[in-house]
Formats: sequence, C-alpha cells, structure tokens
Amino acid sequence: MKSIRSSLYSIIWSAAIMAAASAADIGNPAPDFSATDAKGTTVSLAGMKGKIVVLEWINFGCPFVKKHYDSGNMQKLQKSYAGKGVVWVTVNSGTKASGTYLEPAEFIRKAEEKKSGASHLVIDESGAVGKAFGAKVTPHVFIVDAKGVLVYDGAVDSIKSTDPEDVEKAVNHVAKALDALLEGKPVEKAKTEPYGCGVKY
Amino acid sequence: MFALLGVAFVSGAFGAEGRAKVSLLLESSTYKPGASIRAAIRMKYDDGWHGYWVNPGEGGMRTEAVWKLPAGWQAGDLEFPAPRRFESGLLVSFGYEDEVVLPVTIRPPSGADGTAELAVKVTWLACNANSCETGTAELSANLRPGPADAGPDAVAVAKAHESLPSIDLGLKLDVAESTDAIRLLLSGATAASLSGAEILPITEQVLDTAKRIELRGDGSTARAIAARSPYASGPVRDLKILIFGGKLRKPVIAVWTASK
Repeated sequence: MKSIRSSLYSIIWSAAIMAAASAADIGNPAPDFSATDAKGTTVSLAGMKGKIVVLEWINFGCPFVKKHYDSGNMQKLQKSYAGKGVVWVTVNSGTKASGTYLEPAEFIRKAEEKKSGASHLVIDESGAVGKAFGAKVTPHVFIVDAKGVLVYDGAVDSIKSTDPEDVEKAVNHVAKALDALLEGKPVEKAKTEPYGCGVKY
Repeated sequence: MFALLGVAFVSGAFGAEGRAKVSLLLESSTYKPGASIRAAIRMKYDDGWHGYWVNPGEGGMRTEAVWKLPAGWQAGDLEFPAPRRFESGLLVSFGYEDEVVLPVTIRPPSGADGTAELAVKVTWLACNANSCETGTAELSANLRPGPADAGPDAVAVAKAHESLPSIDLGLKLDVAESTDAIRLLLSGATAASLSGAEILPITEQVLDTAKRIELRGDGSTARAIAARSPYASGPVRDLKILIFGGKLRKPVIAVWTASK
C-alpha cells in the first residue's frame, strides 16, 4: 500500500515541477514554480499572488536547521506570520540518492514531530525549484512580496553557528523583513549570506 | 569527557562524535614563567569528511577553541594553515580533509608556579558530500614548571607552527573597486614570483569565491580581478588575503586597509 502511494506521488511531482530557468534576483519577479506538496495540493507562486510568501529550504538532519527548530525559532516565525496572512512554504530539494530526500509521509511526520507551522511542504526532488531560486544551504530563506517580487534572499538570522542559544542574541533577518513588508515599508537588508549545510542537488 | 592523565601531559580525550578525533598537542610537558609555549589542536577527520578554515566559505563553520586556564595564563587565537577548496552543489567552501594541526600559543604569567592545568573546549563542523555534523571535545593537559623537554608531539607542534602562512612584509597589496569588480595589485620585492599563484580571502564577504582568483604576473607586479561578494555591504574597508600555489614555496598573507 505504502509503496504504491509513494510511487504515485513521485510521478506527480516529476511531472508537475516546472520552475522558471532564470536565477532569482532581489527586486525582480520571483521565478514561478508549480509543485504538488506532500499532502497532494498544487502549490504555485502565481496561485499565491496577493500574499507574502516565504520559502524555507530544509534538511532535518542538518545541525544549522536543528538550531532553528530545537530553539523553536523557525516554528515561532511560521506560526506568528501565518496569523498575519503570510504563506510559508518549506522545501526539501535533493535527489533520492542525496540522503536528504524524504518521502511525503516521512516529510509530514517529521514536520509534525517538530510542530512545524508551514502552510506547505514541497518535495523538490529534481532540484528545479531550488536551482531557480538559487537555494544554496539549509536553512536558506527567500521572501516574495504580494506582487510576486523577490524581496529577501538569505539567512534566518545574523549569527553563523549551530548553537540554539545564539538565536536570542542574533538579529532575525526574516522577522525584520516580514515586519517591514507588513507595514508597507521596503526591506532594509534584502540579501544576507545564508549559512547552513549545502543543498544536495 | 575530561581525561586528566595523572602524571604529565598529553591529553587523550578523543571526540567520538562529530566525525573527527581531536587531540591537544604540546611542545613540552614543562613551562617557564613568562615564556610562550607552542601548542596545537589536531583534528583527524573520518574518511570522506572535512572541517573548515578560518574563512569557512559558504556552508561551513570554522573550528573554535575556548580555553580554561589558571589565573593570568593566556591563549592566543587558533591559527589555520592553508586550506583546500571544496565545491559541492552551489557552494564553495575552504577546509581540510584527513588531518589538520591548528597551532595556538599559550603564555604563562611571569609569576606562574606549580602544576598548571590547561583545559580547552573545541567545537567544529564536519561535512561530507551528503551531510554535516557538529562535534565538541573537552581536552586537558598538565604542565609543570621546569626546563623544556621535547614531548612526543614536539615535532608535530613545531612543524605546524613553522609552516603557518605569515604576512610577507616585502609585499604591498592595493585594492581598487569598481561597480562589480575588485582589482588587486601586488607589488614589492617578492611580487614578481607570484604569477600563477592563487588568492583566497581571509576576510569574509568581500571577494566572490565562486571562481578561482588567479594572479597574473606583469613584470615586477602581479594582478588579479575578483568579483565583489554578493554579500558585501558598502565599499571595501579592509582585506586580508592568503596567496598560495604557483611558484610560491610557502603560502603568504597580504593585508590592505583603505586610507582614511
């Protein structure tokens, strides 16, 4: 039963992901993509127009990702901004051979275990979505404004470490960018160096 | 995790986690008050895993050491030998595989006496092609006052200290910046020998390292053009670079600061 369901899902994904080929630049329209999330819902940037969208690249085994989930930082961001109408898309890019790939049921289970507040869990097995945005590491965050323009590309926060205790001391770039957008102001720091484990394309 | 080896010195607390075995090396089991002692942290990475340089590049993290020393004793920063380049996915990072010995200098105060316990907590990140792990090791060693004796690690420690890249005082670095490029000019007594050598930035977020930065000889000077790091903010104020390869027998460091 499980294997039939899994293979059905993978067929759907490989057919449905069709990200634009151009690289993502701040101030330009973000690359559109269409993917089926782990629950079978179609997710496309065009379909979310009018809403602020956060894309977060994930690998649950990465110590830098663990830092933000074990401290509750990522879940807090996901849940507090979901309450303000922000759509949060967590993306797992990587082939089955990469060791970071997750089957949909496993992706959902891990996200639930971590009490994730993401709106969608997208499996980007081909790496098309990740490459279109230029996602380099986990965690790497991109923010697209309500008009579909890329307004943030970078790290979750300002301290490059794996220590959960640093979260409180750091400047949270994602919260700052989202607060500015929600107030109708420009994002002050639109590009920062993301830190984390390399995405395994 | 603390391993206090009764009588004397070399500690043997090996970090089993973090894909590396770590040890504290000392040049001697003794110290003289006020005289520096050469020490080092040796990282032995598991097969296929690597750790990081002082500028780890993208997706890495430098190895750090936090010391706990007797009152008045001081430890310098961990120092890093020339790294190699790792390319994985969209990332370029700098570090070491197999084994690296990271020198550090420890200084007892002039009034030091009695047996001294040196303790250090080393934290690091190790990655392979598929994943990364962090590691922590707590190591310690005892030093007693007395004339220097060559311990079992004396040769390894001396070699690590002596092969470290150092600032070449005969080399002058100039930096000129345009909208998208940063031009580096090296002049001075040793500049002519730099053609074909490569540059790695020790200062982070100034030069883009996606492509290798190679020096081209131009008579008595050497030049390179690098793209600006996508994470650079504002004009370049200072830059420290490592130069290695080509005809250089040993890597050297050059430093530039913008005039005010």
